[in-house]
Amino acid sequence: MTFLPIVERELRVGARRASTYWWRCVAAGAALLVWLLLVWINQRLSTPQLSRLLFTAFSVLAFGVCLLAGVFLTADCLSEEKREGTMGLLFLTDLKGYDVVLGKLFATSLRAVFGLLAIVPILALPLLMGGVTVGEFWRVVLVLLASVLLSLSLGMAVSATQTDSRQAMGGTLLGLLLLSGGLPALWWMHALFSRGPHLDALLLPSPPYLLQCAFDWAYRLRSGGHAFWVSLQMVLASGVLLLAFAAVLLPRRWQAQQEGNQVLDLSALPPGSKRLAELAKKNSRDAARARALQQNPFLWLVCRTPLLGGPANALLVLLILFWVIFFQASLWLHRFNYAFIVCLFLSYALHQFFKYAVALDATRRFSEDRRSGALELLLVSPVPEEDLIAGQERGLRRRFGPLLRLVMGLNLALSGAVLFSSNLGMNETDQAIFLELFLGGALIAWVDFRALGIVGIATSLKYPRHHRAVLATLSRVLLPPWGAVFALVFVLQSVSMSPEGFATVFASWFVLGLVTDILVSQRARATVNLGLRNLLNPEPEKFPTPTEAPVRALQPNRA
Amino acid sequence: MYGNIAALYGLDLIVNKGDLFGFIGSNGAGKTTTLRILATFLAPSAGQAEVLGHDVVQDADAVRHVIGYMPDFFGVYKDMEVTEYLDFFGACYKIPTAQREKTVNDVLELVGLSEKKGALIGALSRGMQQRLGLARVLIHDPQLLLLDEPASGLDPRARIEMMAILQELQRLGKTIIISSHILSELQTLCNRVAIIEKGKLIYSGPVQGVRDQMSSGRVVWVRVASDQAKAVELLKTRPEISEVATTDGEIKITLASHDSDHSVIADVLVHGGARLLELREDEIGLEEVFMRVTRGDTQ
Repeated sequence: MTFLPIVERELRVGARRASTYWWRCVAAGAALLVWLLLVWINQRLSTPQLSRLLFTAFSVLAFGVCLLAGVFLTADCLSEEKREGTMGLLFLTDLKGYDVVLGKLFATSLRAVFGLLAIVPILALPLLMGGVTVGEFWRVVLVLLASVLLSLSLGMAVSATQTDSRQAMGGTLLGLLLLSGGLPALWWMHALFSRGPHLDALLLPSPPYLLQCAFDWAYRLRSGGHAFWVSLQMVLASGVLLLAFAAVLLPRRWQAQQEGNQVLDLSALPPGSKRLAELAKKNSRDAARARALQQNPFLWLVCRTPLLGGPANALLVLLILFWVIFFQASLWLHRFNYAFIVCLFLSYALHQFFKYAVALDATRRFSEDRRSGALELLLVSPVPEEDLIAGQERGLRRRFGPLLRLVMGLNLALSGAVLFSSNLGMNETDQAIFLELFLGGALIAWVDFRALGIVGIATSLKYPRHHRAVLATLSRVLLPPWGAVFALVFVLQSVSMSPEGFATVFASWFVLGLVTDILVSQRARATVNLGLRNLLNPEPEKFPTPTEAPVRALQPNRA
Repeated sequence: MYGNIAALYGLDLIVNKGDLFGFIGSNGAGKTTTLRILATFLAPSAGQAEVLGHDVVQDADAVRHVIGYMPDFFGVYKDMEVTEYLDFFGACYKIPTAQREKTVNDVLELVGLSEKKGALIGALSRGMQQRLGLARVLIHDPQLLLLDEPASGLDPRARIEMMAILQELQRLGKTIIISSHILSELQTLCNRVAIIEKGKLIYSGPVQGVRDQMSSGRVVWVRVASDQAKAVELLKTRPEISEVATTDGEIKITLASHDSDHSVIADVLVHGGARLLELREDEIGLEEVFMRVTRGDTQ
């Protein structure tokens, strides 16, 4: 008997695939490019300073990529099989839950791990330049491996519980946000309200905390080494436990899904208030559907499913709750100076989650309908293509309007705090910079939202697999501003910045975001204007002359 | 065109109103491409196609109102209820809200899915999903139905039921173009067929016409209880019969013409004193025709 047969098969398939090897070259090449860019910009620094800057920048960049791997690689891999009904076929064989989970893990993440291994030598270059110790280097490599395992495992675990791609990917991102930001926020909150010893255990499973502990400046503290190794064990154990959870849950959850595919039969309910209530609910739903279908059938289709799943909603509410608590603390508590900064980062995280959720929703309908063939059915009906596009855009506005107002509201609230809170103790220059940051962020949230909507439509018509469409949408709209944040934090560290300098950097960031949004929106709009049918079908080409005649030609009879 | 391959080449086809028209070809022969062009989903690189007088490119919107297209996949929303699904497509075809409920009920009854009105589509069997697809096609009462492999993957009962529904639709005056691999069923179901290979039309016309062209002569097999040699001699005297031979205790009779009436054989034998046990005509089937006229090449 073969141990882990799917894993073996996937490794063989991966070994035969040319892209597995090319991917390593691409990853190493991209890393080298960023490396050279950083070196070129920071020429004024001494070699040890430059070495440290490069090592930190690369560690953080690689860490970010590792942490997001699960969202794009594993979050939809099991849910996709469940949606397409192929999961049951696997469980008809002797395969166990762990066979499927590990097989899928290897199938989806082989290239990611290879890519990570390809950039390790570039991460090691600062060792030759000085300023970075061997121990520090290896600790960071361990952190990256542990983080990618945790992220991929979390994706698998969420995917095992979900069927809908949006809920799977959104749930994974929220889970990562909770681990990376929520647990540290809880730690801060405890520190805020309690005068006792800090609850450091809350930080241990958090990957960013682990990364922080890996650097020499933290590792050499009195309890730094102990904290690093315990945290590493916690992150690894969390990853393994999440995988085990997925393996145990998957066979059961798949069966539960099949049983759950039943609609409530009203006639089976006993006569009484429950039956009346269900009947009223059904009638109200039917009436709402009739009204929506009257306007635009596709709009109804876009809006008919809930935005996020229950657990994802709960996590979102939790993050907002954290924000509210820290916001209050920043306004009223003198002894907690960092509350405002925590609030700022929580706002940033909520903005990013909002944009990610928009990208998920903007790409889902066309992507799924294209895969299932339902889009073809719509395109042979008299519904104009413009109605389909308009329905998708209006649906997105209707579904995300409240969330957009919320994230913009967070920024406005922070702006109000900057202007009117004496507790923050800001001078006029600081106030101006923060106001620029928050108001610009609110504006960018709105513009990004519009851009993600139309770019999402264009990419979903190009990529039938949902997670690829999401990735393509996010990279087109958000990669330049994210790159700008990276540059802001690392590239310009060597420059001593005046307040005006910060204002200019923020302004450049927003302008870059705006220009990107306008350009990619226009391009996506032009693509969509080519017509959905044209996008879904290959371009017509010149007729070649057929060379072969059929075996035996019959006399055509056109009676 | 798909890359450098011409999916269809010089296809010249006319389907008459009220026809139940079988479209036959190997996988990759161009059947689905033809149906997709007629359904206005795919624009032809060259040439022209018309549906009920409307050009499929210039007047696509008018075509969409008069056709019902059922592809070879379901294209269903598995998390929708049956009525929701049909209601949605009814709205897509601009059926007024007040009429939609009745229309949905009518088409569900026609395809035999009334019992499953409130069921989730994902919970329906393959046959039921296929029927739901047919109900969707009928929701706006189209004049022309384009059905791509409507019976593929169905069990025998579901297939027979599907064919019965199609016959009923033809009786109601619909024109139906159906592509299928199950030729034995098309043979009994369709009044006309077209055979296509590598994008080229090989034959188009009545089912009987293709059989006649393929068979060298009508063959009748006879079994007699009495003296076989005497029966052979009797048969050889008739001018309607071109050839008589015996094999394995049976007499093989080749009629001189396709129009000959084979009752003459029974007359000759009975009046000649032979005891006739069995008489059957050897009819060439559509499957046999298909195998003979196609090479089996795909593009």
